[in-house]
Amino acid sequence: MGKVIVCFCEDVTLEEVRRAVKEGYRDLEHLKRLLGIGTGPCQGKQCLVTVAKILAEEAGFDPSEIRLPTFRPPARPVPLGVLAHAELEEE
Amino acid sequence: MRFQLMTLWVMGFPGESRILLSFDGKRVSASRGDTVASALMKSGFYTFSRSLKYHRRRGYKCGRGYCRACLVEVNGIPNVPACITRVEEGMRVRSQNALPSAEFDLLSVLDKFPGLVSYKGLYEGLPGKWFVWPLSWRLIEKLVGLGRFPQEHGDYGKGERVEAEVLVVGGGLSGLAAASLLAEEGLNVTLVDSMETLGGYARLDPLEDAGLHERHEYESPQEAARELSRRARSAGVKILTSTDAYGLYPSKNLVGAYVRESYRSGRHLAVKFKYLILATGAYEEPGLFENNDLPGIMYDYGFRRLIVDHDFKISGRVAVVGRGWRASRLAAFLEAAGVEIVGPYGDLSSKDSERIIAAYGRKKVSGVIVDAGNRRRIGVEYIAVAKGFYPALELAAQAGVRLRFDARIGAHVPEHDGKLRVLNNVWVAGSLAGYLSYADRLASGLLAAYYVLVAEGRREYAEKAAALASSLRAGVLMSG
Amino acid sequence: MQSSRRSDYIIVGGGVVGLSIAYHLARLGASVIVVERRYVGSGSSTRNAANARAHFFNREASLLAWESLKRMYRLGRVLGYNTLFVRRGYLWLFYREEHLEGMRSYMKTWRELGIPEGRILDVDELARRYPFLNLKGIVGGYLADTNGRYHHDAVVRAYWKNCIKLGVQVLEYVEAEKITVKSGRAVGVETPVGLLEADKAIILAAGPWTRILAKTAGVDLPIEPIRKEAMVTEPLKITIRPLVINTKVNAYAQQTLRGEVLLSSATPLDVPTWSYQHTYQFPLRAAKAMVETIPALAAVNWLRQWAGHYATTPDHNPVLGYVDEVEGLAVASGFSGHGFMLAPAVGEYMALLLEKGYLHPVMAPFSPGRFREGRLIKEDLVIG
Repeated sequence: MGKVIVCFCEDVTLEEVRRAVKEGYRDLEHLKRLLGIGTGPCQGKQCLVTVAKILAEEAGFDPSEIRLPTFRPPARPVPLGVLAHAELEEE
Repeated sequence: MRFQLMTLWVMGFPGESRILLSFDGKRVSASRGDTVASALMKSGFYTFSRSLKYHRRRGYKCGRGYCRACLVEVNGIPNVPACITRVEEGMRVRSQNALPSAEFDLLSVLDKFPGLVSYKGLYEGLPGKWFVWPLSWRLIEKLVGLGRFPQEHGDYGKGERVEAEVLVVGGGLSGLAAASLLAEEGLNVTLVDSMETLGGYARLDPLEDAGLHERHEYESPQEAARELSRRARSAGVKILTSTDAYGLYPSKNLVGAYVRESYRSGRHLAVKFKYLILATGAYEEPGLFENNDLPGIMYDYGFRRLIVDHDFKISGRVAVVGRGWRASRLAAFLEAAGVEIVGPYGDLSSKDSERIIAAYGRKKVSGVIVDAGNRRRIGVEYIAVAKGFYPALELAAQAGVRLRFDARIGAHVPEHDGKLRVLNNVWVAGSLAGYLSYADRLASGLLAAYYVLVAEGRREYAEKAAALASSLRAGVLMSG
Repeated sequence: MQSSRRSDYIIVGGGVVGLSIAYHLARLGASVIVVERRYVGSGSSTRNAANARAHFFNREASLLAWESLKRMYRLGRVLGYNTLFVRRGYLWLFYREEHLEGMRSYMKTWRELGIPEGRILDVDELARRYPFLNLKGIVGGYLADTNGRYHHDAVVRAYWKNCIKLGVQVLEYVEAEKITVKSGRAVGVETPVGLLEADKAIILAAGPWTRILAKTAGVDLPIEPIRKEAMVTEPLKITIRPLVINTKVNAYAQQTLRGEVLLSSATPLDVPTWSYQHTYQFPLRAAKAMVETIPALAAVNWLRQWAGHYATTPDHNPVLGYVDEVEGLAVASGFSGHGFMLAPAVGEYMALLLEKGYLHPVMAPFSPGRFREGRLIKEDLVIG
């Protein structure tokens, strides 16, 4: 059997997500911290919605009840060298 | 590598200036318009690097820099997205996380023993055998990470500050429509887009679109994108391409952005705005089937971009995944380009009667297993995935905009006040706001511009906005 | 599942400190309910930099930290869950001779306390061992290689799983609103799901929120929520093994167990606020500081920033033990940025105090009463 990948950055499979939900991880935040979903280079751009759907299905939630993890900058990766040369504003 | 030399010989016709680069020490020839990704694939290299844990093959996928599946090392700089990096003479491109090379990676054996590196294996796999843990982390320390530590430091310029009356983030149909109208009305407008060419998704869709034709008098999305880009330019919109808006800081009316100049250079931009229109578009929903990460499986945009921008010759059949209008349009586009297709099919996430349950192939996709009551194998060279759209809501969400689950698109969208406003001086438009059809996306951009004009004291736009808003609502009902 | 509203102990705060106390209480046979306003670990336990050290610049904190670090070493083994502790070491970089001298003399104190003292590295050795450093202006370094990194989520889960195994009720998304005091004794915690009653004691392990809750019982604790920020980059093969601390600008960088570079820096934005809002300035300042220290970082991509709190007290040391004003109310908070690394020892000592009435001498100096009594813990050495 081949793997069905859900999070391509962290190599997390559909099977792993389902098993974690069955084990009682019923929160995207916990799934993220257990499996690493959404913490890789794409920062959840491909996996979060899929994982939310799987969680809703497996746990019997309505998708609208699912709490998304906090969104933080950057929306796209930025080299530290770019930041280091930025103009600082006065606070 | 006889095959490669052959490719070189066939591709290198005289007269055209070729650029030479290397990939894991092998010569690759490219033309000026190529990205590192398109150059590698034209030379037959589909596996660029290996994945983090299981060392599975990774390559080109989204075509616009966000999915990060195509990361490579370029001249000692790690984690460079190959799909948005232009080829340069003499570039030394290296695969990442592969030993000794992407094509033949000894560590791919980890894929066969997922228990060793999955979370289960990591935290609980050896309970009671704590004495091997120090070994396990020593091993983990060797295995983790994608690229090497930088061998080169890059060259980053001094940051800049820009003041804009209106900042538009995203140069697709909605962003362009908003920016050009506002500039024509005399406002000082800056538009940033993460790609090198404006036009977003529409730019790569040359087929006729009835809704767009009826409501906006453009023949095709591509024509609309071209025409609106031209209008934006002639109206004096300040356009910054290859620029990633990375952060929205509403209390400072500021957007932080990164102007990418090359894989090793760029600068910071702090854009102060009075009004902000977010038209960041959407990400594509991945296909859900076994081996859905094989090289040769690409998203709609990425696939189109290869053909439209890089003149990539598709040899062999393409399986299309997705059951909505986007998949149908992609299928029609490919057929018009003379490509043989199978599908569109559903996948494991759909309840379709005909769905792809697996892809197979050794170095890249060579076929799919389709379940339609009975299972059959169909040989294909590529799989193009055109499923749903996930709004690119990071900037809005970071800034504290509330999100609402939209059952129609199966994902969250920023919650607005009924007039596209999400914060005091911030509006959303396009697929970010949940509009799906080209006509609606364009119209929502205009509508956001009307609201900005109303906020600027241009009363005459209030009525126009009301009329457009009601037709847009009707449009949403029609397409939904 | 039958859930009781009454138990020996109610712990407010489902972070690593609360869970560690709960685990040790349950091991001593007590019944415990933990209430957490969001998800388990959602406060500082998931926002910290995941470093543990024994080397503090006063005796009291160094002793407590060393006791905790020793427990951290074998935590995975004890809890049956790999917490991925790695002795990566701390590397302090000094830019002024007097700081280096101060460090050299303070090493004696650590030796006296039985703490592995680490060693001073001269500039040549720094260059040899850490070729990625920009040595300009550096006069020497101090390497304490018994310190290290853990995986914070793994530690939290390890305690959590063991708590559940021992019958502790951990209630997520239940916010403690008020401590109920009856005739001078804390008897319960009011929550949206009803009153939770404690037969023996209520323990506040709610980070900076401890102060707000203590106030509902009429107790004033000088704990302030100072916002601190951190950021990580894309993962790279591991090169920066120790925690590299630039003492000139008070910034640090280290690669995590996953290879991301974790950076932080003191900034003028480290102000008292309840907000977890990230700032525009922080990544710019932290990047500037650490790219100067490790120039190759310029070409590494930043991936995420976040904010957390240092629950800070006037002497930057924790508040541990019973409060004097109300009976049956104990506190474990005010860690001023070091709560996670202290949790293994603090959980054990707090449980001994609560269930056995034994005040461990290592924990004794941190009593809540010290602020009123003016017995603040003094810092012996200040660097930076």
